[in-house]
Amino acid sequence: MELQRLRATIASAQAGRPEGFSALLEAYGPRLYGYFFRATGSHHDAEDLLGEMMLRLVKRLKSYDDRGRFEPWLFRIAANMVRDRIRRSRTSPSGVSLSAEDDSGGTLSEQLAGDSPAVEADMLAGEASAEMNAALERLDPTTRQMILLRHFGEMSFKEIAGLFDCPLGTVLARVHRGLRALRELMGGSDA
Amino acid sequence: MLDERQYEDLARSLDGEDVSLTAEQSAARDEIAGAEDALAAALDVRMPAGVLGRVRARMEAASQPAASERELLLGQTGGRRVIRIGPWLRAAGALAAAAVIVLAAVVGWRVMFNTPAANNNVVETPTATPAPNPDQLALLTLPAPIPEDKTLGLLAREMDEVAGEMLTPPVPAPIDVEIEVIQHGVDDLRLGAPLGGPAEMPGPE
Repeated sequence: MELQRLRATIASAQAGRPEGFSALLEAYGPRLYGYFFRATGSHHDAEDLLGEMMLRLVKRLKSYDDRGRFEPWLFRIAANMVRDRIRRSRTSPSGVSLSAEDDSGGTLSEQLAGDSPAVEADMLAGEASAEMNAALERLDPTTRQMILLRHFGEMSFKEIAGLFDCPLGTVLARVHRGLRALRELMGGSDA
Repeated sequence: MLDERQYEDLARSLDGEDVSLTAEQSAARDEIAGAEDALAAALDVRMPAGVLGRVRARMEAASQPAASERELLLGQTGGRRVIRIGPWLRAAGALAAAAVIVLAAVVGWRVMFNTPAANNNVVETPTATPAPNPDQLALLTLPAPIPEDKTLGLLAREMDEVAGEMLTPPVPAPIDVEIEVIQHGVDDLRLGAPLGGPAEMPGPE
């Protein structure tokens, strides 16, 4: 989103106007969703986290002072939410819901209802997506988060270093090793 | 392999700073940038239809706090009012409950021990236990015929025991005496007499 437009949108949302929040959701929702999905490996968790994230945004946006970049501020909140969710899931495993979407993006009830023309393409996309999730799962959690925040949050290495309270050189070394491992796991240098 | 310092310079370069790089750093830079580009498409996620709509509905419900906040504030104001008058209500309730307990105790005491009511603002403090009526005692202590039915027999024995207990009242407990003293105070207040302490209370006739 263009800087001037972003500022106007943030100001609108800070004033409590629903259209401001709606515009922020349109602009950042897909990226946040992608980050949540790759971080948790579940569409259900991703949607739930996105909803929770936007609710937090409603409460916290007034504290955003516009001096820094918006994306790192936004994805810092998202990263903390993912960390909390992962901690909680370790202590209390979740169940399966028929209304929840599975990893291919469709609901279980929809899949049980029968095939559709788009099912094959969806299945292939789902397989590739699952392969990426499996590869990400092989990385250590910190490296995985750094790579995801770099891609979805478009964060600089300096911002990631600040978020993880980690030396700048260490961040890039981790990301470098992680990217190399991902390319190998995803089937060579073509990724 | 780059060391920490070389990676730091490379990170600055990738972040857009003007940093001179060695050939090894440049090769690493190309590798990192290439990997990020190559993996970008695979990392991207197609968001299922309907997600944005559901999230928007959830968010819009939460982004209209003005009315609910006003209601909340009004509710809190009302709550504060209740809290302000609360101590008075609680005190009045406690006083009423104490008065009811005292009156019930006095009435019960007089019924059980057949104590005459106070006359001319004089209330007796029951210290002596009245003797049971010998005729009643003889009647109630007669052995009751045991019915053939065991349940009825048990019930009859229970009734005998209760009747016996009523005719042999227990020695008044100190708390009962205190309640009686409080009752004197309440009676004095009610009748307009000066509120006296226990030492000023008239003794039994």
